[in-house]
Amino acid sequence: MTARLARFQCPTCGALLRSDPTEGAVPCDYCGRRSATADPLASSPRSYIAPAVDRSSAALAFRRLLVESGVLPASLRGGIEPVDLRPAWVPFHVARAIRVGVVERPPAETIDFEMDAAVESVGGARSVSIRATRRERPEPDRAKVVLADVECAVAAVRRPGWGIESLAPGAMLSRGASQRSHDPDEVRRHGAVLAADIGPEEALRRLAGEAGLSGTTLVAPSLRTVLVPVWRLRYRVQGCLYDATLDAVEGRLPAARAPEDDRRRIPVAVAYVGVAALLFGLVGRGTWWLLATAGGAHVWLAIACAMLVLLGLFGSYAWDVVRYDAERVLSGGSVLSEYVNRPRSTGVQRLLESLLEGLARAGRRRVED
Amino acid sequence: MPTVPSPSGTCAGCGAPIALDADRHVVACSHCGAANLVVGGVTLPVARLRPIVGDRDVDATIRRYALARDLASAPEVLSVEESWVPYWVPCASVVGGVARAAVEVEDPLLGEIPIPTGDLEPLDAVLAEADASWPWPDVPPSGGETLRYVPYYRLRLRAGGAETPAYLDRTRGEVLASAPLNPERLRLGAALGGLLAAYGLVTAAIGALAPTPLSVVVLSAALSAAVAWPAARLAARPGTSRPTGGGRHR
Repeated sequence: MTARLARFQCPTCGALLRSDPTEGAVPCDYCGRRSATADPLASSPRSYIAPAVDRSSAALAFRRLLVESGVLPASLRGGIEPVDLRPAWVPFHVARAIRVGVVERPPAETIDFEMDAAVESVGGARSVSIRATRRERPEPDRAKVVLADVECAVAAVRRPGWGIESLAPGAMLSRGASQRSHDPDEVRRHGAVLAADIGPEEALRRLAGEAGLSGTTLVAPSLRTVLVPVWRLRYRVQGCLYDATLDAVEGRLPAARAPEDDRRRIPVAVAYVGVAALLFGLVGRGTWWLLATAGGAHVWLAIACAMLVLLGLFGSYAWDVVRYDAERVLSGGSVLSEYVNRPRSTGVQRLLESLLEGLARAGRRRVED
Repeated sequence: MPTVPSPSGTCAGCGAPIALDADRHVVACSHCGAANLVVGGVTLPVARLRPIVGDRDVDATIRRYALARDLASAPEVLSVEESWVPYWVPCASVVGGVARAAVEVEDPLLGEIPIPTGDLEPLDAVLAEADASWPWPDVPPSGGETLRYVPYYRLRLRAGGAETPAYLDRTRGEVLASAPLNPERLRLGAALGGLLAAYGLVTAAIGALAPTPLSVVVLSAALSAAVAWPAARLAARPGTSRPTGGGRHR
């Protein structure tokens, strides 16, 4: 929480002033003089998108969307136990500007004709000469034209795992959401506003980057803050807590986490171990056959290395499945599976990597020899 | 030259007139001693809860939190930062009401809390520190609400390699973690390890010694099916609704 207590005094009479971040200037209650706030960026006008999903609808939608999106395994859908459902406002900096461009009109072409033709006329033949030449106007026309209004929205908060990047206030408004001017009481009724940790300059910077056509400039940039309502749910599955975000305007699920179904993961680990062991056995049988027939030492070494690599690979997979908890993560519309708290490389992987490195080194040495 | 009216107001507690100080946002009533927050010439009753958890108690509180949630190892505390959050508290007649944050918050967990209770700071301490480090309420009150400042520690915890923010309510010693911290669900014990090793050895022997390819497939598939169920029983905790034992957390 940043301490945002500003000593707000009327410069005329010294009385205390209201601190209202939604207004660019506040009037003094005693002498009436209006004083501008210190930071014009911080006092950009606010509006909010009206939430269309209330608490009970959100609770129902969460349960349905967690299953429909595929983030919650179907076998666990009966085990959801909602723990906490909290509303929040996500602030977005919305930068708007007019993109102005200089357009060059191509030079006009004029054509002169020059041709010879015989024209029969009364009293004898007359010769008419018509000349045709192609000339270009040397100077092109330049015209300054308004190309378009451009707008860019940037989330004013960083909340990893919340799916904020998939919320787009502009798209919501274009799909029929209603935008209202800031009403502190209405905003407060829905929930808390998240404290911004990204400045509005970022929106202007991104706007300039997105609208950066050659030969165009942005004029009359303006900033405003749009609050987008979301619901944050915490729920318990298999004794552990998970969270999800629900877009309170359109009822979408931008982000969620849920456990993998452990009853399915262990058979997968068993399968990995089985494949590794079976390959080991089959390759061993092949090695025996090679040695018994015409195999040489280099063939045996290659097969032994292949055995070790396969064993390490499938053993590593099996180790990950058995050792680390896994979660399904919904992000950007797709569901991914990821291990919880798994180090970047496990012991088996490090062993495998060192083995491969040793093999490569031996191969290089052999080539050099 | 026009005369400037001297700022004055009435105490939110007793209604007595009080002189407003242009240098201060919190003024004391000389009649009843209540602290008044001045917002646009309007006085609001304000109070500050006395913290009972100091910075020396943070580690112990986190350890208790980890123990209560079955986390075998307590998260590492990376940073501790003092933070005051003002809440609009409804009048005493509201039963079961909640207090709403009067400022923008970093997590919805802080946005709405049960009505904060505890010892209030003496007026002198309130007045001495009121304007120095308190966040100014930027959400207006509804009728009859009082402003109550609740002390928190803003923490950064490292749990199992990942960093997560958390808040420690210094009046109750409660930890509010932004990301859920979970005990581990799976457990690789000696029994499971031994079972998988034995299964691997037998499967390798099948691959090496089985007479025909068909027998290799049939025998290994049958063995896998026979091992999968006891392996799942050994790996998953008994009674997943209330996990026991320790492990890792995010």
